[in-house]
Amino acid sequence: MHGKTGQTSMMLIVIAIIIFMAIGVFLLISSIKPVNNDYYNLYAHNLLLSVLRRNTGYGGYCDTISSTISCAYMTSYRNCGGVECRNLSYEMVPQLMESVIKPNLDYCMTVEPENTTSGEKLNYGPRCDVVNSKATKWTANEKILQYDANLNIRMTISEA
Amino acid sequence: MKAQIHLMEYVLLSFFVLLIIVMITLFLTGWQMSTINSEQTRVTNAKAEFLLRAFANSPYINKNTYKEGSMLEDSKLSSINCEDLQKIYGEEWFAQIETLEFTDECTQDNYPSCGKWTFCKKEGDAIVFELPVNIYRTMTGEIDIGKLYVGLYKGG
Repeated sequence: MHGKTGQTSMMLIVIAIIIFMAIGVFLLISSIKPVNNDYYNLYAHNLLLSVLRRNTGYGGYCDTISSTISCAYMTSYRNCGGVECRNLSYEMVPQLMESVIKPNLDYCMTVEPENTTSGEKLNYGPRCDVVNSKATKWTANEKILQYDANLNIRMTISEA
Repeated sequence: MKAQIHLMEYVLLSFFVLLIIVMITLFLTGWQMSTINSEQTRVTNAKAEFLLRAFANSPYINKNTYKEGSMLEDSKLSSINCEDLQKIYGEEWFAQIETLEFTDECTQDNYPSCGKWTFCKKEGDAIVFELPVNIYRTMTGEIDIGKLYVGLYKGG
């Protein structure tokens, strides 16, 4: 009789432990929030698009951010407001990005020619290596159409 | 004495069994409530996101020539009001558009030297989504950049 009661107590203790473990797993699962990929993809796309479309105030070769980047890649020797296109793009793009992007996000913008993978790349973003090494990141692509060579613009964002 | 000890053992056992049953019941109820809550949050999030997309691409506030959308025209933003938009998107939401340069709320008096438009009152607990957009300045033809906030009130 004593043996049976002891066994039953043991069983109850095991069941109690299983229940506590199940509660622990449940709390752990419920604390993990799913990432909203649709929203972040839309955010990345709109961030890239709205930055590219924006007027710089310089006019000419640097009328918009898009044309400034194009000038920076294709004819970097040209000047806008007394500043070389490339330097101007390195100054304006990060400044604009920092003022628009959500504070919990990092960004990396890459410009490269469409037809060749060996061409020079322009990178904008202070933490490109961190952003590109993240497992969870969202990417948007746009194209700047040029007479000589189209440019591919890739924007990657990740949580900081 | 032996019988009393046996009785005590059975009482303790019964107590543990009852405790486990109560715990299972509480756990399952909690699970169910949490599932319902997360489903409600998911649905509200999806609605808010849909509203954000609809707003960013609405022909009522976008410049017609930009097919990709997200090019809000300041003259359209200044001429439309909450009631007009509620006829399209329903109630229980608000939207705000802010440019980086101007922080003044746009009125008939200060247009176009303004950069903030608010549609429907911001009140209560809402799920808010943010999106970068362009603002087309009708008077100068310049393209500005700004942020669109769309909030959906919880339970809306």
